[in-house]
Amino acid sequence: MDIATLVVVAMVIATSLIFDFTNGFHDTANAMATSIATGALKPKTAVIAAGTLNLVGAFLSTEVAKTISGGIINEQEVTISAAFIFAGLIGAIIWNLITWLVGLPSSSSHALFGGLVGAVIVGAGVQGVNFMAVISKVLIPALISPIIAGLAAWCAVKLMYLIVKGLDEKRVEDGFRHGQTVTACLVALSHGTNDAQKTMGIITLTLIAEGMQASGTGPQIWVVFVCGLAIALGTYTGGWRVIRTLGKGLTEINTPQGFGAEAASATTILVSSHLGFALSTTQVCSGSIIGSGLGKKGNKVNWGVAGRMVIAWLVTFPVAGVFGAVACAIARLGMGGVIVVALIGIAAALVILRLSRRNPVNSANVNDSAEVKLNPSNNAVAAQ
Amino acid sequence: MTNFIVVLVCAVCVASIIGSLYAFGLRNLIKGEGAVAADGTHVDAHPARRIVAYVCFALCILIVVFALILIVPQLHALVPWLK
Repeated sequence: MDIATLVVVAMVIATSLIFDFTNGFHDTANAMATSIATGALKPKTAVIAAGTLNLVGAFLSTEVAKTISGGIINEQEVTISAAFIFAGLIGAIIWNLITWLVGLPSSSSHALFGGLVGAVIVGAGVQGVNFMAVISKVLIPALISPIIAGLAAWCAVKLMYLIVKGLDEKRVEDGFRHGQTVTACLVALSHGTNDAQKTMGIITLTLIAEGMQASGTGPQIWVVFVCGLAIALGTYTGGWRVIRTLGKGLTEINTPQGFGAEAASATTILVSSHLGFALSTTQVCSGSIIGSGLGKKGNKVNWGVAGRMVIAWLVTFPVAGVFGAVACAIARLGMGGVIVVALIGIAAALVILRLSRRNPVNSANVNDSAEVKLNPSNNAVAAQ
Repeated sequence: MTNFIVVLVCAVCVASIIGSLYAFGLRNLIKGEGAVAADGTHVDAHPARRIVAYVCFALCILIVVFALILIVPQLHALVPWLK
């Protein structure tokens, strides 16, 4: 193997782990936003729990890792080089960082698929993409999954409030706090079993493509470990901006609503995974939070934020695709092109990180948000 | 499309059941505890209500255990019809 190929493989592995890290911090909110917002868990405790469960989850299953894109890319019909994968990853990372900067919860999986599809179209042609799979695995789930989770959360919250009607609100809040912690942990664990595997699949297929691993074999143990560690570290870092948007920006929630939202999210994710089609955790969790917000009488939902979120979901795939395509157009020029793409990626990440420092969001101020005013009833509970 | 309807029905039913069970358990737990009313009279505890509450919480734990079995593929062997 020549040194240039070895360098590209090393860059793909490093980029995959960086993507895994961004996936982790982008998706911390999915499991823990409501628990942090309601005070069921302290912010730092929540991200430690989520990070640990993501690491554990990475070791539990490697089934998803067997395919790089869940059938969206015709991996058997076109030759996918390490440079294409690298370009796709750069596209996905940049989009993840942009959405993190503006605090919008977008699907990391859709960003990854979009980046890879864009890179493959430029690198190998449109025949490399299964557009029916794009519709069935990206577009339709993006529209339907938040509705399913939202409806489930709405029904659960309505019933819960009906059952605990007339009881001391403080006691009810305390009671649901314990349940919410458990349901949040379930979501974090299921996230770890799904999302860490995507990068395991990318690294494994890169190693197979470059003849460093036997075809048909699963991820090696060091790949499982580093991917699990990357997503866990990312989760621990905490995407506080997205946590704020989901926990405080969409609607004001208290522990019964948080419990209902997390229960609905966990149920939707597990049922859909078991039936063979993985819905985006981000879209499911966002939908269930809106549903739980609507489930409580008199509660408000900030439809402006919700609308921006839906737009972000719809544009994630095409925009990450454009980024991936541009990156691939440069990367396919050769080793110099790959290095240029890497430098552009690093520069973009540094600019985004610098912009984020103008308005820092961290564990200390994550629950400060003026987007949705507290409901009078919640104020009363909080004052007790 | 059928799959999405199955997911919708399952998600709505399971989330509603687990939410209702937990809320019902909580209601019975609170109502089952003895307390002193605002006028100073003592309200007796209801052991039966507390037992109902614990049964509800136990059922919730069972649902969580089943969710863990669904998440962990190595545990699928415990439930034959999952295969």
